[in-house]
Amino acid sequence: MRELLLGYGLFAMYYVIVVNSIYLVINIFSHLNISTIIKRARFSRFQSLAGSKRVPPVSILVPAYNEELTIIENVRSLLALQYPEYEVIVINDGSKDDTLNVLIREFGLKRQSHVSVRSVVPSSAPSGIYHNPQYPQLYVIDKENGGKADSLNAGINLSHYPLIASIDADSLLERDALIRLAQVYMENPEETVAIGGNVRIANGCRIEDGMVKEVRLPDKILPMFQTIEYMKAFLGGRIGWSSINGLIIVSGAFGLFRKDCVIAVGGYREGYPGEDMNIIIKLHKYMLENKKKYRIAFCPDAVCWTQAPDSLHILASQRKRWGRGNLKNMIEYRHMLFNPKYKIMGLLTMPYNVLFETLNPYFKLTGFLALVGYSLYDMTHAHIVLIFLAINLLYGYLLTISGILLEEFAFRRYTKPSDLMKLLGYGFLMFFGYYQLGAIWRVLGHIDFLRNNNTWGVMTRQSWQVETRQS
Amino acid sequence: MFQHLQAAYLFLIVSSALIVAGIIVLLCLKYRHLYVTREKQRLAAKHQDYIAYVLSHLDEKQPLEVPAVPLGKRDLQVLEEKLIEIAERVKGKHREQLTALFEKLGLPELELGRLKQLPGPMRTDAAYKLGAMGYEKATPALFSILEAESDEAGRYIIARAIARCTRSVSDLRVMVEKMVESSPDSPRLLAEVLGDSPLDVLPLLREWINSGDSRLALVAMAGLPAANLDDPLVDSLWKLLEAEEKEVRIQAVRLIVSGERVSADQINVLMASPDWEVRAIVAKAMGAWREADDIPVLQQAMDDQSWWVKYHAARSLVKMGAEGFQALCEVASRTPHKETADLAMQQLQEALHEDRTAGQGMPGSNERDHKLTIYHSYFNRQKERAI
Repeated sequence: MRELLLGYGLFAMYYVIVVNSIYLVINIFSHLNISTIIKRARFSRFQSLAGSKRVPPVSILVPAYNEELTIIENVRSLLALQYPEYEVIVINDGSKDDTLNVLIREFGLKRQSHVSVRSVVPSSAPSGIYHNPQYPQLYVIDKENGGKADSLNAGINLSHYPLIASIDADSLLERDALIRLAQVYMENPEETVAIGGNVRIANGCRIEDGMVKEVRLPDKILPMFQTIEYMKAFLGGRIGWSSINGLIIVSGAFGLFRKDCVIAVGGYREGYPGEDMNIIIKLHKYMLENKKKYRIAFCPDAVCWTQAPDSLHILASQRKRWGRGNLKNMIEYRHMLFNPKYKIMGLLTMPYNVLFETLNPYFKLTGFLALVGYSLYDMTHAHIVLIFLAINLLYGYLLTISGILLEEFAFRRYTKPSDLMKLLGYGFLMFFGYYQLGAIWRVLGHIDFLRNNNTWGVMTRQSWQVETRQS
Repeated sequence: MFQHLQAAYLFLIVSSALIVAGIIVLLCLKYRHLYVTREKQRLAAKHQDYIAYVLSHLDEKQPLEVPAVPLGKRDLQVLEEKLIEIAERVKGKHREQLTALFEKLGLPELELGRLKQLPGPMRTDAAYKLGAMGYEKATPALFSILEAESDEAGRYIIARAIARCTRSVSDLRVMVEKMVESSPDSPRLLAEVLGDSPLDVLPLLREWINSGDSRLALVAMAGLPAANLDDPLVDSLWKLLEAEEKEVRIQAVRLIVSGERVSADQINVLMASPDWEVRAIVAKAMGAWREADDIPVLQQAMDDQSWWVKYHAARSLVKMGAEGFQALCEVASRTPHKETADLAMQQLQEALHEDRTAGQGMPGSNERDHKLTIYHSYFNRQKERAI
């Protein structure tokens, strides 16, 4: 028994090293690719492009469920984007609060009694469409609650332009965010099927008129951890994955898609969370099966600011939802795993996702318990538990440093030396409780999935003004 | 066991070393950046008067003078940044003044030196700045780094710099041909790049439209301003309507209908196109021409197979005053297809709502009243389609 525990514990230790090493390699790809990002971000002439008629028009889809506190600021920030031709379609997904009425009041919307909406992807029928010719770019769809995917599909059915952008209703786009994505699209319009934007945490920032006026790190500990987590995932991970065309997710908070491709794969999948990962896997699958050249890109200088959960209750709900969505996607597309037909997706991205995202908490927790059990047999070997924990900590922290380095090389959003210290300090602190909680929430998410619990969970918002006042 | 522990210790030592190195790099980067930012702020304040002098003398015939005080490396960097900011906002004579000033300050030569560095952001930065300065002599060097540049973003930045520096149309031709050969198709972005050239590119665009090369023709069509369409160009565009590539046909028709109204016969030819995109573009254009003679064609277009053709036909009809409005009412009242009826009704109601909003607080509009009368004459009898 003792040998068995030791064997398993050592296996878990090597598992941690291998998985983190793969992530380190992806980080190295990110570092290699950062010069392209810097070039595009600093030397492309977005200002002139923002006034050009050659830029393809975009339909921005904003699914909204109980978003009365943030929706007006969000829509105002979208209506102020620097982009030549676009429309904003807000989809009120059967909100129980006053989301629809605040929109109607604020923008003087009128319900259209006759509406012609195509049905290019499956979605529940709108119960009303609201518009005001004084805001010709803005449409609001009202429909019964059907989930985020259903809302996005309803938006696609109403949309009038060849590109669609999905934006979360609790997010704020920087004015040039969309034009930056468009520039990436225009560099290779034939092959680009989706582009992800960078999601940053807005907690702590000063926000006025739907715009982030001053970038500051959050004061509260949970949003601070998430700031580092996002930096690590978006800069350290997604830049690297996109450089080898292995991006598995374009965040639902902000992404741009070619509408014809989204329609070709049947639109967003309903019924489960994780629709943002699902649509990307479907796009990879469709393009690879049809032997079409394609790319799914990531543009870290196109920034969307979002409110991070600042209570354990809401964060747990979000992470359990992510765990459920991830597991569902991995099970649904398991035939792609290790299948050479699906190239990088089948041979690297999906196996990595299963090993690192889906199974990670199990291996880590059981490996830790095995080593604890082993050392209980013989306390003279107790140090092996500490070694296991130290490997987890140091390798993980190395990846955190890599993410902060990318931020410092390319973007430098957090300018003060104290910000850097805070990032380094909290980045270290995250290994003592936060990551362990994350692992537990992921396991609970899997349990929810097995119990067929498909609810969205709790997600409460606060208005951007309150957020700014508090900070 | 011992071997595993040895490996683990080694791993921990390497990780710790990398972490320490990473933190040192981060601290150096942060403090260096802070120092540079403060220095730049200090120097920007020092040269504030000189920048004000440049801005206020851009209109004058005399060339701009260089600052009277001796300039260090950092002074030059700050002045370069400020002057490039101004150069990005001006055109024509003002830009020429600045180009001459850049040369007097010796900045283009400095940037040319930086172009010889290894590929990366520094070299792209130099290319960008040379483009902003419009330094003609940099063109050959820019061409050589264009060949060597591997990533798309960098290639477009260098291509734009060439377009801004060169004074020869043939250089532009070579640049675009190189981009078309070695980069994915991106006619719109290439047209944007060409648009940054101070040269008259119309002869070049004309040449590409007639070249028989669809990729170049697409660049030309993306770059052609509608106002510059003369008869020979329009004839060439009509020929492109027979091109094999659908995208070429679509872009050709977009340009053909972007200016003045085409003849009724030509409209009929275009509306008979098998490409729904072509028919939709023409239906949309008719709304901009606002020619009452087109109303029957638009009414017919409301029976098209394509939702988009019907959508644009309905939108165009409501733009044609009371006559178009009435024609759409007729379509809405007689069509057996729900989709067509809904499309028509939606546009009719939007038009009435728009008129009402536009006329709020103003004396009654005859046009609006007339439309309302027409609407009621059609739909009061058919309650199910009333507002």
